[in-house]
Amino acid sequence: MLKFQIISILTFFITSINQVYSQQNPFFTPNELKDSVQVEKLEKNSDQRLEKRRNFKFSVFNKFIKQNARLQRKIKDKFSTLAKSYNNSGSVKALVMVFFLSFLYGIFHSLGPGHGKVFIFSYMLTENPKIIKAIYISYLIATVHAISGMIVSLIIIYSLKTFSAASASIINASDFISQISFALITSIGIYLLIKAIRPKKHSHSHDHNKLNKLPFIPFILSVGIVPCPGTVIIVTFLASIGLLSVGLFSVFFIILGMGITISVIGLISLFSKRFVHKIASLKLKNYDIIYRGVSIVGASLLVFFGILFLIGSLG
Amino acid sequence: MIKTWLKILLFASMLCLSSKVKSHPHVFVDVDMAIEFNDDGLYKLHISFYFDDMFSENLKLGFDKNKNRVFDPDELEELRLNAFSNLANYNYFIHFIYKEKEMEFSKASGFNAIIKDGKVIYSFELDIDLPVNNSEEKYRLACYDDSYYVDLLLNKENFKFLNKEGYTLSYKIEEDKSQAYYFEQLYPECIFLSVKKEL
Repeated sequence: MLKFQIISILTFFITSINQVYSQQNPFFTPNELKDSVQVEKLEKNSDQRLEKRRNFKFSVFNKFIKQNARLQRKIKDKFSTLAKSYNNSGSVKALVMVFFLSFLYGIFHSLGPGHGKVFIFSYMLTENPKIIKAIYISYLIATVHAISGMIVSLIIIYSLKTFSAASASIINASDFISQISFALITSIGIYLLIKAIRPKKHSHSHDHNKLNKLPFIPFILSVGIVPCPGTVIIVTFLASIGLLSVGLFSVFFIILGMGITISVIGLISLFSKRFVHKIASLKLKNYDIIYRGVSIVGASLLVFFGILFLIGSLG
Repeated sequence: MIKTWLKILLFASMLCLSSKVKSHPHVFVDVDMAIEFNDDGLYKLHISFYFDDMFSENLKLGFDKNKNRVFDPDELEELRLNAFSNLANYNYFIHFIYKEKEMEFSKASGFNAIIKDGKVIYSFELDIDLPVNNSEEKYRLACYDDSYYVDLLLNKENFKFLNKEGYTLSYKIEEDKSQAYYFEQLYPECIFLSVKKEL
């Protein structure tokens, strides 16, 4: 357990550094590429990419991703109009709407990639918390995630001044850090996998909660500490038009929204596990095998994603 | 019941799977495009990027140093170097395919940036220089960011041709499945263009 905690804490630091620095905006020139001649001479491999793509003609989520993006576009447009209106007229209605849209943005923005969803999903498969605790964990992750984003915003606002400066200081160490980070996530997965595979002496109906128990606080911190990029965008935008305090309050509403999305993902995973158990419990003989099977799937997911992203970052 | 649950699970897995944080759409851009012809064939691409309010504020904060709502020449040059030239590494988000080869644009010309109604607009040109004769040629043109950090939306109604006299052309705009990107899940809106020189 101590070994696992050490790995968790290490991952916590490394993923957080990596995620902050991997927010590369294509528009901003990284420091080492400031010379435009150099920028324009970089090699590209578009032919290979096209070759790779040509064979792929099936997407399940095309519409969903596009609709979500259109919705976020509308929310952001409305948000900035209302924020400016509040700034000019002091309208309370506009302020309330700004907070409401922060809430909506929290929901839809966190439907996109990241926000610890892969980890909460795996966590619920390896653990078996009560529903209320699952929601509690999800909200704690959302809170740490958004507050971490808020701190990054304040650093940008007070020290770096602009996104460009923040973004321009990046990327050098990012690849290497990513690789270490993914390798550590893989190690956590392997550790949990070995624990899940190792035979345990227990009957089918109790003691399951102790199986693959992940440390609660390190888990939340390691998943949530990655600064929420959506929060950074909202807070820095409001600060840039002179509404820093509104920006800080809006973080609370972003958390409310984001917590819903993360909870839903967590609960889907949790209920899937329970559903499998329910079916398995009809055949008592297989119960232990299936129970452990689900835990093994959860741990395997961590290994799978760890290796997948590790290969991605090496490529 | 199991089937429904599997569907929900598949959906949730997809949401989780895409955990590369940098891939979010963070910047939203509306795009105007025009293709210019000359005597030889396809000559240039004219492109305008209309940024969302939030990213516009960032650009103004960073580069309109004297806050006069205009990018003065020195500000414009700084903006070009720091917040535009890097797009060469993304092929300026332009995917122009001819004979199943994607064209690479190493340099943009005529870069300009203005502030209109509080929003920042970039405009620039890319050289195509592809000769066209009297046999029909087919091209595909799409504008998207592979990393999906930026969500680009083509203004279909503003798409146009310049100096097209002497050419017969037809086009349609629809999703191109062969260019699926972002975990192979997104199909870009693509302009399928056919061009022939008139005799």
